[in-house]
Amino acid sequence: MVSNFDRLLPGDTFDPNHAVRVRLGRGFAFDPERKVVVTRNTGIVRLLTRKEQDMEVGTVSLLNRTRRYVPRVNDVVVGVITDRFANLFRVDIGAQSTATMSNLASNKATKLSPLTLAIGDVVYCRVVAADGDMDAEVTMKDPTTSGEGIFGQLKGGYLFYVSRDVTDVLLSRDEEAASLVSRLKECLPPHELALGYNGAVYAIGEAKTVLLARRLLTSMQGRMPALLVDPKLVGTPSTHWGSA
Amino acid sequence: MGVNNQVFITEALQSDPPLRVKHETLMSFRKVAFEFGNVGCCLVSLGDTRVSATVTATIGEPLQNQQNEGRILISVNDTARHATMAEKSLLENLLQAHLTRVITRLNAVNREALVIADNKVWILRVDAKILNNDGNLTDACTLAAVAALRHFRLPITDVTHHADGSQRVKVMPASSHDPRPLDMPGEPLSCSFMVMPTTPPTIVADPTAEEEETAACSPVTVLIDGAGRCCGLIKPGGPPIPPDTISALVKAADELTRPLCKRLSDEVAVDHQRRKAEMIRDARMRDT
Repeated sequence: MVSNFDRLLPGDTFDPNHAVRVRLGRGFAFDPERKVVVTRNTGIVRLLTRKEQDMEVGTVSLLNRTRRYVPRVNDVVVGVITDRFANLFRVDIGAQSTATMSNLASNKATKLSPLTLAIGDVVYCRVVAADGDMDAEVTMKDPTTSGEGIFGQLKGGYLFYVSRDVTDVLLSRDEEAASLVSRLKECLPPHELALGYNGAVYAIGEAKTVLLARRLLTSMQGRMPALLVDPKLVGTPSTHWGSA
Repeated sequence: MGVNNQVFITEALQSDPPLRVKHETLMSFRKVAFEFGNVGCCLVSLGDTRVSATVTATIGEPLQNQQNEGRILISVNDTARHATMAEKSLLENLLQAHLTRVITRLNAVNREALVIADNKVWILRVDAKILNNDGNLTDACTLAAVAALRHFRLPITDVTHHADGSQRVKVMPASSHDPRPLDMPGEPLSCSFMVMPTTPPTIVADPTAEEEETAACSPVTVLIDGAGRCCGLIKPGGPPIPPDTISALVKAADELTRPLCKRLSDEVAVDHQRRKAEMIRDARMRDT
């Protein structure tokens, strides 16, 4: 009987104690031979369900304190440009190989004025192709707007990496994560955080705010179940910075 | 790492008060932890920088021109490189030269006490392995090597002279003859600083990997012995530093390394006591 916040090892079956219809998130896969849902990693189960017409519906995923990133289509990631070629860039998103990004991959870029990013620039982008055997492909095009979207070059801040359980939770859009995010917002002075599913975080703000954000987020690594239950455990600035 | 982070680091140093990413103040070390394995093996964590050093001893001949001294061989291995490469990289050579400076030239270990008999001396081998590099490998390697040397215990030897002039050296077993600590008169440690390219230049202690990679920064290392005297200053290039800044650096190095030195001897002593208690407990369990 697997419930929320249980610890699973690779190969364990997901076996909830009542009927649920779940979308499989990270860490789970359907084994067609045995016709069960099995885990592919170690981790802590995060089972989010809601009642929908007398059926429990939701998602299940594994929270894992890993820094390794396997790209999935439609993930938002923070990448660093490592190389520049005639019509494409190479972006380091922490995957097994660098991803590619066309130099027209932005809402405003045209053939006459393609993207002019330099090596070392940090970009907020979305994964469009993630076949396991080939390099991933990312883009800064936002299909939902025609003007400024959330994707693009990130400037004026500091890039650091946290383990993936932190970013998986903060990027999910459910209520528990929302209360954790609002607790973070209470703790920190005005700031901007760009989170990527690859564990990368780009923080923009005053130097002290950015470093405080870094300390808060790195302290959340490995503590997700406790923090989801009680967001106040994130702590206050003074617990993370000596004398705030 | 990216230009973004370098710009942020230099701007953070110029804010009021100056801020660093992984340190509390400009002149502070990150959290230092010592972990001991076998006798003579120490793993030092300086923040996220981790270096492990092991000391082993064999009996051999002294060098031609140093007949009254034992020998200490030092090797530094960067585990991030392929182990199949026979040549040492520049980083490994630099760290090896630094450790040789600290251990042999600053007399960390009394090499005359390593002599056993005519033409037979102890040859100590210090192997340092870099397990993770988050900056300041110089200090981490020095701490690991000195900690391993302090933790190491040398077996007792018994020399018998025969009538025909030959001698036999017998190494006594550890179970009956407690191995002795090395004679370490000096307590040299190194303290590394980085002159950061802010205007005016700021000096930070214990640079992290990101601070070391900032463009136009230059390193300075101060070698301090246990009595607070500066025994060496290593400054490979970079902008000139006025003499009063150097005195301030020596003073800061002394303040930073003195508590580390004391902590090191305390933790070595505690570890050996624990080891002894375990041996007694194991012997008691065997007997019952």
